[in-house]
Amino acid sequence: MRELTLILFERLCLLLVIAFVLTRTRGFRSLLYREFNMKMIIVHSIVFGIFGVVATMAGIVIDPQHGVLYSYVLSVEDSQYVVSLSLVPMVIAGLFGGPFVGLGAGIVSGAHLFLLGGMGSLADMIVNPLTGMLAGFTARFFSQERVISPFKALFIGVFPPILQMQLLLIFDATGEEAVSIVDTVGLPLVLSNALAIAIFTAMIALVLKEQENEAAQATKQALELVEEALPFMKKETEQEMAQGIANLLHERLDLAAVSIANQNEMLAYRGIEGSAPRYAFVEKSNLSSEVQETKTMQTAYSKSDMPYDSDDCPYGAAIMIPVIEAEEVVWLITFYFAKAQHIRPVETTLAEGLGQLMSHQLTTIAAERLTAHIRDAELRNLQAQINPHFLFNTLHLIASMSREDPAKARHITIQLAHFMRFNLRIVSKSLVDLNKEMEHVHAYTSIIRERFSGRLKVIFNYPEPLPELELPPSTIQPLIENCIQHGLKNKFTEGMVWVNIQCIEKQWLIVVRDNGCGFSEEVLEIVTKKPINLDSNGGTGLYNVNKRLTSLLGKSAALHIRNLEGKGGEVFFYVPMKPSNREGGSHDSSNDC
Amino acid sequence: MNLTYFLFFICIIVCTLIITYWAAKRSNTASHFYTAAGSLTGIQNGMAISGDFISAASFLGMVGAIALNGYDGFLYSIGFLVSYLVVMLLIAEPVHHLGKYSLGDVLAVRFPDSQVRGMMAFGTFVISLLYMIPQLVAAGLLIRMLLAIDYSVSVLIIGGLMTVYVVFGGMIATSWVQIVKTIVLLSGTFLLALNVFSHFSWKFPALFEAVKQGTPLGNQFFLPGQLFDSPIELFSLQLALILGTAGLPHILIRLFTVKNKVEVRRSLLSAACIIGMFYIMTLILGLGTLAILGYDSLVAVDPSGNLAAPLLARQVGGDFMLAFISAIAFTTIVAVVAGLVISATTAFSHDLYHHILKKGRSTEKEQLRAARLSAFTIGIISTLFALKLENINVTFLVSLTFIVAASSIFPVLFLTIYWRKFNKAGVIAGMLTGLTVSLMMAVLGPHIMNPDDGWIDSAPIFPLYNPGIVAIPLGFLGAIAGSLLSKHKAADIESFDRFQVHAQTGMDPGGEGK
Repeated sequence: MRELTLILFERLCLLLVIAFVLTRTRGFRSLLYREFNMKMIIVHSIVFGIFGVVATMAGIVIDPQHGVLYSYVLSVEDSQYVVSLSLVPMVIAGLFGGPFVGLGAGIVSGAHLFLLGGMGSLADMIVNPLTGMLAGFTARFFSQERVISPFKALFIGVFPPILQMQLLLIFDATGEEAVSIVDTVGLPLVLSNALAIAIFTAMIALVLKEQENEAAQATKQALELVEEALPFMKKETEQEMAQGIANLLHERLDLAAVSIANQNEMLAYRGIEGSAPRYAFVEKSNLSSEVQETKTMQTAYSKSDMPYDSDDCPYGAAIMIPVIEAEEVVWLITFYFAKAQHIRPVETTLAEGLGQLMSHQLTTIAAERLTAHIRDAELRNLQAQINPHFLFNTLHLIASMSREDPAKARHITIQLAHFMRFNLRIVSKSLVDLNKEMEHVHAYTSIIRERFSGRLKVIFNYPEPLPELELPPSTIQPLIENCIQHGLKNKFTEGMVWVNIQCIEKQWLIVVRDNGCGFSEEVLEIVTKKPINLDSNGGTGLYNVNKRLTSLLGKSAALHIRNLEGKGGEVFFYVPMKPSNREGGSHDSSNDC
Repeated sequence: MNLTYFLFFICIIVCTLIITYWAAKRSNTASHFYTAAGSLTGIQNGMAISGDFISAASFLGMVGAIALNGYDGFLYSIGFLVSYLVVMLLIAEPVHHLGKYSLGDVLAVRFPDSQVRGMMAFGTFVISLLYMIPQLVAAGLLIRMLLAIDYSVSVLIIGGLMTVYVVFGGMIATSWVQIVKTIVLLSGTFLLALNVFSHFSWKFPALFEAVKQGTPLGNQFFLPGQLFDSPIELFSLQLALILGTAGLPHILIRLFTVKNKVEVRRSLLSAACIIGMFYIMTLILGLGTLAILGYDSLVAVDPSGNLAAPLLARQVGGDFMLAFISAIAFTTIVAVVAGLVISATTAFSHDLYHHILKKGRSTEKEQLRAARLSAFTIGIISTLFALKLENINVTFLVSLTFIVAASSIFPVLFLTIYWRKFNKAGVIAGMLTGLTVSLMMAVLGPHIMNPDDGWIDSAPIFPLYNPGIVAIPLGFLGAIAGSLLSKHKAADIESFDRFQVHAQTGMDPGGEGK
């Protein structure tokens, strides 16, 4: 009996090798996902059936005269009994393919056993499909696990050979012969089959784990890629974005080629030189129209489906991924592969994940832009509001002057007109030239000087001609206004305001300084951080200016505030040298005026 | 013991322990330990119920009884099967709706009182122990005969196994070993039955002819009157069997392991189907034993007939089949005993420890520890009993269990659910009357008081072998009298109505009942 057990183990090891090769095939892996359809059931039934036939051939024959024959089973005489190992493949077929695959495989393998003949052929013919089916139902019973644990399989594997023996006894109840055969082979079969099934299950669990790791890897890669693609997605032009992303994908994913197109044209292509897919594909190829219709990823496995309009396509397969923004397909990213076999599940998973992540990212960016626009518009509206006191005071001033000094009154009226026109412009422009800004400041200061005649001096100090700078409109004027309203509030003579613009280390420094009372401690801390309402008016001025500066020119342009050693306060900020060097300047594209 | 036996024996132990291991990994809350957390489907639970119910006495004893006594032997099966109607129609759904872990919970919904709970726990414990002892004794005898190990060793093996089972696995492990056992037992007996048929070229008449040849009873074999000579005995036995299941705690607590009442019905239906099929198979096996083996060779090996099935297996399938059928019998015993330990454990740790000792304030961890500890203790107690009771008549203890259950727990449960005037005193009176009367009558009956081979060497005081016909009505009477005579006021109508709604629909209408 021990010899028999060892022989059976040897034969089963052979089978396990075959099974191992089977698990390496793509078709087998699809079984693990439990995606069943009629075609797959038939294909797998036949595959496992053939496996069963091979297992039968790897079995041994028991001859009543000569005892156990160890040669491979090719033909059997009527008095001989085939010890078939086909139950192992049947159980495996049932456990992984479900009852129908088990049944189908059992029918194939059982038919073979019946045709072989021999004494237990009827029992064998029945036991194969029965085992496959029962194993399938058992697997369903344990359906919460995708792969039955090897221990459970071991437990389950004990029973098929017992069934085999029972059926042999039932169908060949002729006498002592069947009983003695059962006594000889029963236990070795139980032992070897159960172990083989358990080992096979463990093998499958391993394959599955491998696969899951691959998927996890793909997900991780997709996330990383999107993160790396982020800077490109914020680029100004679509071309820039597309080119950057195409380069990134081509480099990182080891693809034969990558192309990115929008609804109208090919934006970027990386791959074999001179064989870029024609733009025409957007209308022509089945693939792209399908992607656009379904808004899901599609795969082309043959040249005829490829997004080329001629036969010179150098690639064998492609995955086309839609990038969706606001329910519209905005981009089609296509991965090209040299051969259809190169598309593994990893690639499809990755492609799908990438498409979705990029779509999300685009939506997020669009949303960000929208909020920035809204905030900007709000700020401009705020600043466009002219302080009504200022307006009334100025009108009174004009009224009183119009008799004494009509020329001056006229001058101030014109300045007021300038001032107001500029304020209107604030709403429509996010950045203005320093020239324009200074005009505004002059208009304001000449009105204010007249009003406080003699009490106030405003001293300008800047290079001529003014450097080419762009500022948020109405940046300097509120600073001066702040000096007059707060710093010089209690100064009735010799109030001074300096406005300096100078170049320091490739940056322009703009300083507004007064000789008033300076800032109180608490104001110093919070004035740029939140709007304060010290008096009836003003309070929000510095806050608003700071906010516009930082949001339009970046953090480096933030307002700095300090008290001077002698007396008075100082507000200053830096502006980068060249307008085009503005960092992160994304919200200002001048096309919105 | 030869190699085949031994390997199979090891194989089954390993397989069952693996299931416990899986379950032990998950059974971490009290709810898991006691009721498998309602995670079983109706059909699974039905399988587990049949696994709980079909004991070694059924499998081995029934085949033997049929082989020896013909028609009368089969009458046991009828009673067992019909009892499921009583459970399903009268008891099952209310018990499912009211209980959480134990039968004590069911009563506590109506009578929130620690005496009532304690009484129920006591009844549960007595019945479980009574039922456990014959299983262990039978197991010990069986293993001794099959594997030629010493009786005490085999009792210790079984007792140890089942304790490990329950201590580590709780209800899930128990459920699973029962499910596995049911499948194995059913398919094993089915295949053996087919085997028997194939010996007679699949012809019934040939089988019956051979049976007539094999039994000394001849044609009489197929007629009543072999086992029960008086109709009163027969009626008394059947009454106990039919009502007994509805009072068996280890069956009733299985009703908590499913989610809703649909699953309760489904589990009882599938259990009844499985048990019915099983008894038909035992019938065939019993007939087959006579036909293939013959009366004389059966009695020559074992006069009680308990080894009919294994002997038949050896005859038709050699040692391989014998080992398989023995392994099935072994699993059967472990499964039933584990189920019994669970019910006794629940009574101890949930009712006595959690609700009475700790006044419902113990943590889940403490409860679990108490449950494991009591499972361990109960395992040891019953193993010790079984070691002492080597020579007791197994059938007597089994039927005694049914009588005790039918005259104590069943009346109390039934009246709690359906009788408006029932009260706390009634519960205690009914339970005590049922327990004492049935146990007294058994002790005073001819099983124990017997001039020939009884423990007490004198003429029996109580004449009937099956005291059910007297004990069961007395149990009911005790409960009714207790309620009517006591000073306790019967619960007011409104609260009983609320209770009724809760019991029949599962919706908890609130009120002071809780």
